[in-house]
Amino acid sequence: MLGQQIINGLMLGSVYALIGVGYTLVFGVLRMLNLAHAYLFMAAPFVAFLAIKNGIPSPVALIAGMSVSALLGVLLYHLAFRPIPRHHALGGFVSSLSFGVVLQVIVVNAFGSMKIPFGTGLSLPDLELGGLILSGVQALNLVMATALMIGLLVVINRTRLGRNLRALAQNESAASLLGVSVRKHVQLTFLVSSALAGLAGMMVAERFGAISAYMGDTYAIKALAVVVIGGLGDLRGAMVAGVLLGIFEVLFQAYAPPGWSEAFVWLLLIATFLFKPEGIFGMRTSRREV
Amino acid sequence: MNVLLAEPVQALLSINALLTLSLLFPFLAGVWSLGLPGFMAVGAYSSAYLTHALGVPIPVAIAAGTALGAVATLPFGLLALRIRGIYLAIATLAAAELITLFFSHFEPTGGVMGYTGMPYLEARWLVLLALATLLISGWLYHSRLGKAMKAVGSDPTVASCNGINVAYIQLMSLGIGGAIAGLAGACFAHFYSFIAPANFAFHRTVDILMFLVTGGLTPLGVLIGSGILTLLPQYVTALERWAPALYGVVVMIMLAWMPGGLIPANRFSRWCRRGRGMASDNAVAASQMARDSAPRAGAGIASGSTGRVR
Amino acid sequence: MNTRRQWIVAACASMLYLAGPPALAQQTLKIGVNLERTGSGASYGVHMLMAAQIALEEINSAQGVNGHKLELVIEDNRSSPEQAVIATRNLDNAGVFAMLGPIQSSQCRTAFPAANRAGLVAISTGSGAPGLTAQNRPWTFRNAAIDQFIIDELVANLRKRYPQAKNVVAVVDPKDAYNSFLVKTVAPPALEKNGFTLVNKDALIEIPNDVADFSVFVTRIKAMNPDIVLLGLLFEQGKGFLREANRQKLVVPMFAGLGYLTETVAEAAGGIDLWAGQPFDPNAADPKVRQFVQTFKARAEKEMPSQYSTPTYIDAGAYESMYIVADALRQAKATPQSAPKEIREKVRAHLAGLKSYAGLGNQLSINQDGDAVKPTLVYRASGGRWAKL
Repeated sequence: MLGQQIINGLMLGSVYALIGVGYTLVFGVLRMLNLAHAYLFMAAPFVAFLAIKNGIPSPVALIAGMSVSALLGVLLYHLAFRPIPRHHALGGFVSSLSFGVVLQVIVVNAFGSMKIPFGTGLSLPDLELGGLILSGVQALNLVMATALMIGLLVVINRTRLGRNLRALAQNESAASLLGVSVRKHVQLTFLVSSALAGLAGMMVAERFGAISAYMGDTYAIKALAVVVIGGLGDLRGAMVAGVLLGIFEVLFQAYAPPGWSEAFVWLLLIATFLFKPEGIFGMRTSRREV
Repeated sequence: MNVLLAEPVQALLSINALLTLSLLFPFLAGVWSLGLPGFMAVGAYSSAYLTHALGVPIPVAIAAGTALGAVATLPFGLLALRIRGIYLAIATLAAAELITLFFSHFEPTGGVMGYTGMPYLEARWLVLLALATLLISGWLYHSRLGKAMKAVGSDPTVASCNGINVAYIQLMSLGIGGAIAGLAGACFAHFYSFIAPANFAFHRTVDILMFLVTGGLTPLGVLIGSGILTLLPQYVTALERWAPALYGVVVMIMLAWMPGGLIPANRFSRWCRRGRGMASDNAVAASQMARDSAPRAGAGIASGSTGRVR
Repeated sequence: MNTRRQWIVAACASMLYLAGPPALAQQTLKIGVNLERTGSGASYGVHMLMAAQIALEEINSAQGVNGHKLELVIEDNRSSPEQAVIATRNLDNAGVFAMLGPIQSSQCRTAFPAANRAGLVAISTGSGAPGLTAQNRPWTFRNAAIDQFIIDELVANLRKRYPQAKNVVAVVDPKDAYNSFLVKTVAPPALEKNGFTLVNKDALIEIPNDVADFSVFVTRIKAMNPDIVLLGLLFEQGKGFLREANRQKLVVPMFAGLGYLTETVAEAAGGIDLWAGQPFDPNAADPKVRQFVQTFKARAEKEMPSQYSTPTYIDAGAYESMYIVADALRQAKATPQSAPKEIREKVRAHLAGLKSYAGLGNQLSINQDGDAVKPTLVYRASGGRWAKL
């Protein structure tokens, strides 16, 4: 029973981790919070929904969803982040949110405000591990998410591209003086971050069997908690924090008095800021002067 | 003109102006507090409860709501002294969510289902209160306290070198902001006759931030920013279902085109500083010099152009 | 540089201001619609408007009202309580004779007092929260699914069907106002009246709306050994709960509020006896109903292909209300030049005294609170399908 709860928490946590990684990637290079993230998360499943409805096979539809999210992310960068002066962190906050809201209005006008059933039609057998049941589709999602995140870590830490990105995160002017093209790298960051958001959205759509224009709203704020607790800008931290938060949330919902699950997340967030502002891993990868 | 004469529009304008003012003072002092919905909720519920359950007359209840809004900022103040910038924004956002969560489970004021029964307050009182607060804010902005706030917002280190008690100013600005938000909440409760935790969600913070960022960090900017963005949707009925999208597009354009807002801070402070040799003025001037010579990231909203993201 | 930009903005703003809202022709009888065209209630609003428009077209093509055509004046309240008040005021200023909407209770809560103060008839076809009309007499009315009536009817049927049952356990979605009302305010008196005991009245089992795994909750309820379970969940969550309950063999009768009467819920109910009620049956044999449903479905599928196409009680209520208002206007001998104030009073009086009106497949009467009392149709899910009793 407890084991089953932990499996569920792992599932939820992997979604949070995916979203958190996307958020923290952008924060790392831009020092701005991308509030449109949750809306890109919401857009991908709608694209997949349209594709499936028009007879496109599910795996292709899912890739289409991720790609559209990624492209929207690049558009977002150019419209909402590039025109804002570097230090105007709240400008990025507000502008990205406006972009997200426009996206949401488009979806509501096209699909309505209610939940729409979503199914990829993929049916995989359930796995049984000593009494614990893991839905096949969920397991696949978990594997994909983990693979992607590990891949991301490898790229960030072992390749030249990753080194450039880390340099950008540490000190933008120095990095650009040393030949790192700021615009290209930031664009790439948005591309990857938004693709991850899209993937997370489709995982959630699959899990609940429904999509709605408002599905991103609850995840938006929770993802903030993930990113903070994991340490803003810290990829590994975001992953670990996401998984832990997912597990805690499920356990709290199951065993604690009502209402405490949410309160716990906020309290933990505040406590992190007060006592361990660098996040779980406590690694200051760059100056924290904002 | 007919739209402006509509009482509900006047009420909404007043409440939005008050809420935006409540963000102005903390942000001036560099305290990025997004606790606004929490303080608003405190003001709304306390005023509503006092009038409905305890029969307290409206003016007293509203005053109490304002005061309690200020008191509610104390725990936030503890956060503000330890955390800065966007980190404080996130922390205060979380704290405000906690307040709303509390009211969702607090049965004496209806919990999730909301609270009703408080006496009706006509729109003209809201307009009066909003105008009075705007005038007071304008006066405050140009007073010594206001200058001290701007100094602390520009550069706390330099400000404290000039004899300003940074912590006191930060807490003060937060408290003023909380009081104004409490006032706005009380006005909201009495005009709409019904409040529920859903009225105090993050969504409101987002709207108010848009007003503040569009109008600029000055009382006049607050008036214009909140005024224009509140009135805009009332006029674009022709767009029907696309009207909310226009809002978002306008904000994005404003931010790209005039990031300092319509009435940005620098212009005013430069005009006012002419010929006055006060400690806080020196602090602002000194910090501006320091900033011009050694660009550093994010010392405040729109503190000048230190380069754009390429 | 900055000053020039500011002047441009000022110029744009004043152009908008001078543009103002469009003027309306004076040759029609105006009925206002205060609806959720955008925002979280947009789906309801768009469908309700369609139902009202169907009624409008039918009335206009059949000689209108005393030879005059009707016209809808639409105000979007954006699913926002504040905007709902502004919308009411705008409709008042536009001189409409009556106002349809808002749909959602949170908008009604602010719009109803405003309509009442302004002396404008307001008819909501979506809000079911208790007390709204009673607190805003004499100008506000509801032609919707009133939870109290539905639950009363459901519980009475449960008592008839399960004479030995006693203990009821309730689950609720803590953040949903509708279900909170249902479980905390509406259900307990009905249960008590029929000899049931709500065992966990002070310790409701809360299931948040993003839960996907109901096993823990079902286990807890099983341990409480209920005779009947009250599902205070939105139907999406209800489905998940039902499936889990079937899995864990918690097969006891259950009942819920609105929104459950869809095929997928009946399937999810499996072996459980699930009870629900509604005031409007889209499958009724009545010819008026069949025609309305047909027209509505055809239009909905054409204009909004990704959304629901079978009309709900909200849409049916709007259609009925349009006809009721048209009747009132006819009797009041309203013309486009009539003074709104006296016509509004006549419409109000007509509504307040409405008894045994032949609506869509039912007969409705307005009670002293201003709510339309219509017979509740009770349904039971068995063998994966809904069956009317």
